Amino acid sequence: MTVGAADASHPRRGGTAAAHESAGAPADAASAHRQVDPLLPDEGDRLVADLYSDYGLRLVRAALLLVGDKPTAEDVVQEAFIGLYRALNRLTSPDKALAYLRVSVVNGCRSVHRARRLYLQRPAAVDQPVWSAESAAIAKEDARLTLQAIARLPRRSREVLALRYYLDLSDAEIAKALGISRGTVSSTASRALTALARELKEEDEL
Amino acid sequence: VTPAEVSRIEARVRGAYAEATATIAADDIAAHAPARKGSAADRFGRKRIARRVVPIVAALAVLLVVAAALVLPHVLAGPAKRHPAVHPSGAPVYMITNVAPEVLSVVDTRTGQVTARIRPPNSPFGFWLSVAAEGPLTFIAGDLGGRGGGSSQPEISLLYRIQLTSRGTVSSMRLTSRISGRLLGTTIAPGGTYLGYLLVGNRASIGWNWAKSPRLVIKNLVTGTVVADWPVAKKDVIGSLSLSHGGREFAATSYFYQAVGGQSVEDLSQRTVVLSPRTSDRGIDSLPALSQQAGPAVLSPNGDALYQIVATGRLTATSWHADYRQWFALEEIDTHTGAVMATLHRWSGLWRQFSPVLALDPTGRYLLIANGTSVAMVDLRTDRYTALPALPRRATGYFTRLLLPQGQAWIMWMAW
Repeated sequence: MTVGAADASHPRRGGTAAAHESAGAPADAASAHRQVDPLLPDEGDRLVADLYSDYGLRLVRAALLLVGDKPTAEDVVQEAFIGLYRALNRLTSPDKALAYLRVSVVNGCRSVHRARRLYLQRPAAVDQPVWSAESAAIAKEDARLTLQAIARLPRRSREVLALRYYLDLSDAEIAKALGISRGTVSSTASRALTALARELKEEDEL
Repeated sequence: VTPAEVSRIEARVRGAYAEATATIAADDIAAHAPARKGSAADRFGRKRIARRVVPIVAALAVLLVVAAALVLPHVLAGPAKRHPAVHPSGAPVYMITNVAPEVLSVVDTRTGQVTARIRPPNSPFGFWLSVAAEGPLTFIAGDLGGRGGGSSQPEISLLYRIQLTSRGTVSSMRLTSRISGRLLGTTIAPGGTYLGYLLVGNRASIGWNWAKSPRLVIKNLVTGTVVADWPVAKKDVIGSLSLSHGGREFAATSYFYQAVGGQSVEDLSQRTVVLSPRTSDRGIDSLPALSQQAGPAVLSPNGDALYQIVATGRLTATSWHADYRQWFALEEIDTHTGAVMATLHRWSGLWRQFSPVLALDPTGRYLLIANGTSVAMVDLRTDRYTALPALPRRATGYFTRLLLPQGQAWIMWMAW
């Protein structure tokens, strides 16, 4: 991780990749705004560039699981990074930048779904989501059925599953990214898995 | 749910995520982070005035949107649209057709609205060839899957089974079989066997021109067994084909212009024949004709009746493009005697717009008729004719049929 080497020499940074993985939310950053000097422009540019290099692809893939198509997923992540520029002066620590990006990506995906509710009412052609029967992206039928079953879950369940089973975040990190309690994360994941087990069992029996 | 099941589901979710995310490679996304936007002042603290003005403008915008949402519907609303009554009990709701050749459109026949569009998932050509209904929400569709490698290889058709949801969207689409030849039509035998007819030719081009005379072949689409086949004269153009549910009777309409390169209606030679496996191997142009017309035709499930759209009266148009008004009729014909048992509907229309398509529902009770964007249904038990909402016109004439005015739908076949 290229940013790790730069972190080690910076007094405000943890200096390890693990420190970057610790989650944080914009709300935390706002509360400590007055205690920390903002990053200098060059430092900020470097931080954003390094974060994009290390996590850009993974975040685009996570966004794909939430919005369903690559162009939209890439747009969401690009907007998150552009938002990070604006938030740099409010971050209490560069270590929290990754957590900020996760929150931005989740919120961006929610905005996409809100916008689509109106757009999809029109018969105009749109990119088919990766889990749809029309999509040629997924070769395995089993994976497509699983993704279709996930797509029918409530929004929060989909977000929890993507953050837990794709980004491999802990329940505490998921709780901070989604702005909910750890208990809610745990119960949501449990309910989602139960629902999936039931639905996929029915699909398999058809 | 047991812990073992949870572990299995977790593994399945991880596998599905891995499969989905693998569709985006590192090279697929921008190599660098997006550039920083705005001035230094914007980046490191907004101006005080902006901090005050932006919330006020945002609040005013919200108020404006709310006011518009309350007022505009009353201002703009015209008389409420009324859809015709829903179908009689038992008639299928969804039809599938190829309004454009590269897309199957699922249409709610109660509203005329397209509820799903389906593209061939694996075909390099993206060209649907046929569709048949297995049930109200289950269809099978054939796609020209290309050649087995190289232009000299035989054509391969792919057969898919499509399951719709009750809202008309696609629930699943699975590849059922690969068949050698160009699958031009399918039907489902009472036992559930998929039967289809294909045009099979040597070194046939992807277009509709055959290097040699092709053969019309009925096959079991799962086992590949040939049920029957007939040679087709190279001059003949096959207009319509229909297979009874048992696969024992087969209707074919064909036509050709007697003068080479001619398009004169008086020069047009048409015929409809009903074939059976016992006539297999005989040229279809040598078999006795049921009628001297080649309008679209479908067989009843038991093969005893043929429903066909015919032009009534003498044709005097000089060309198939002619702006010439003609009477048409939907007739029920006895396939054994050729006698017209009933005229189910009559209408007059322009000859150049005559391009109807017929489809019988799997029970054989309801007959769907489409001509251009117009759609209607006949209940064959009561002979009741009901006009249905028209199909949406295509915005662009990507594949506008020659016979139709620019922008109208192009339909070759449909099923419901």
